[in-house]
Amino acid sequence: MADDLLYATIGELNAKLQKREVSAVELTSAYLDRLEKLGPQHNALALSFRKAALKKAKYIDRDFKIERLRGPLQGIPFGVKDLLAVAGSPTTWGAKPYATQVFDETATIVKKLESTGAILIGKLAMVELAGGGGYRYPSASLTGPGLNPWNRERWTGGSSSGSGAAVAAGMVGFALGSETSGSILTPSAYCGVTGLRPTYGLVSRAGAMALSWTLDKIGPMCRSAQDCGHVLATIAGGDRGDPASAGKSFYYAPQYARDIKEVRIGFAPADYDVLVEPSMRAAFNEALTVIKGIGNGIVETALPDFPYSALTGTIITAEAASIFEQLITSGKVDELADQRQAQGLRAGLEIPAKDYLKAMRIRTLVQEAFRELFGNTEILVAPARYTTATKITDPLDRSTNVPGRPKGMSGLIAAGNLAGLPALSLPCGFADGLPIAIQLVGRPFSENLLLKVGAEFQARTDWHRRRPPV
Amino acid sequence: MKLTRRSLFAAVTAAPLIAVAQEAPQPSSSRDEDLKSARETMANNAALLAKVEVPIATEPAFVFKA
Repeated sequence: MADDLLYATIGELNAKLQKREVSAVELTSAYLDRLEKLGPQHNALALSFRKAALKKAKYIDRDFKIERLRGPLQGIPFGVKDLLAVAGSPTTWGAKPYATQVFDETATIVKKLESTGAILIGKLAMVELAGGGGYRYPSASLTGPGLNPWNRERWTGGSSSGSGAAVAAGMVGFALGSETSGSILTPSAYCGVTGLRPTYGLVSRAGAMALSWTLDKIGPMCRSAQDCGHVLATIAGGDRGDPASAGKSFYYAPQYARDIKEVRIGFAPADYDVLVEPSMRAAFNEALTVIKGIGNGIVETALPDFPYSALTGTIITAEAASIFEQLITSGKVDELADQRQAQGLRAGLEIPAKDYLKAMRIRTLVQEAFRELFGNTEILVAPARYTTATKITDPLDRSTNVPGRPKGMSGLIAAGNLAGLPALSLPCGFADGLPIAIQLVGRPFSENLLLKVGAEFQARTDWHRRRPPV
Repeated sequence: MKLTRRSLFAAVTAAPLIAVAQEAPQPSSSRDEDLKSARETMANNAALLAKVEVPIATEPAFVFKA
């Protein structure tokens, strides 16, 4: 099968399936071959579902034959981060202590995707326990460091490492990742794919590993903004199995979102002139020019001044230590691949209640400040990451804080997660041969507007269509 | 050097101990340093949070549902 098809968008694939130009069995088989070949080469594959996927594909082909159509995801092969349960199969959470863990119940959103005819072909690798203890090296995973399809000496980013590599290298039609503070946006940016972090509470987490109850979100990683819209429309919605569910549905209808010619977009000049690496500046400034042409002007904006990194650090550490208390006190935490992560979880049991509560009270102020900020602008734009993908041998816990330097929107990933805001990562060019991306952040439940602006950006550029040399 | 039965026994029994030491994933001193480093990060975070003034009426940002 031609590579073109394996890199096609969901809309393109579904059109070919409906016209019977390709069968679901052929498509599933081709993606499985690629996933099983390239997945291990990039440490991206946790588990292949070849037999079950091909069986499902046969049913889907029968549906197409009798024109029983179930929507844009029908017949599309996909992968999920290995923190989502699939009944009867290992769900390792990327960590040795859970290598043989098997659940009886499949995660709500996997069931939703399968009910619309999408075909699950594999579990994708991840950073162990989604990195909640704070890890030092990209090798902090049961499957080894995620190797970037654009350059295997560079990291995919984490913690949805396998999801980023698999979408980038055409191993799946789309993937699911999860984000507590950056785990969808980072691998999306480093691997050159389009990733959507939904509003907190929009997508059910029932059946997903918990890392931080008040921060965890699950979202799509795809080849375009439109693809993210199709996947989100299926996985969003209220669920009594998730205590944090907002009880809201999502209909992908960008045509009814606000006219983008009326949308004001906020940015911080220091991001582009000072904070990103020099090799990235030209591409980011070009992307900013495209963004300026889309909305109703672009206005200089500053993030509210809070210690965002300290806030997310305190909240995640406290909640993760409580969630994994048994792992820690049993001593099995020392089986993790990254000792900094193991000791980070251990230390988390010592966080005073006053520090956690202070962080959560400041978080209320953060949410109020963002409500005020979004009175003047509808969307914020910033670099998704300020550096290209790191070398797989480089430590990740080096401080990049330079006293006296402007902050720009460098705290936006942490801030957006604290306030529960949706974000979209869009590939916007290359630096040193590696993909780079911008992020768009909007008000809670403004996904249709973000996707509309994202689709318009991708109609004017072709960075999301580029393919790695695999 | 004269090889006695006692020195031969000592040499043979010492070998597995060396192998075990080499297989140990990380020395305990490294773990202690990592734990110390994690505690320092937590303390630094707490110091940054302490600088933020929070109005007394501000409640934590949880939403509990019945």
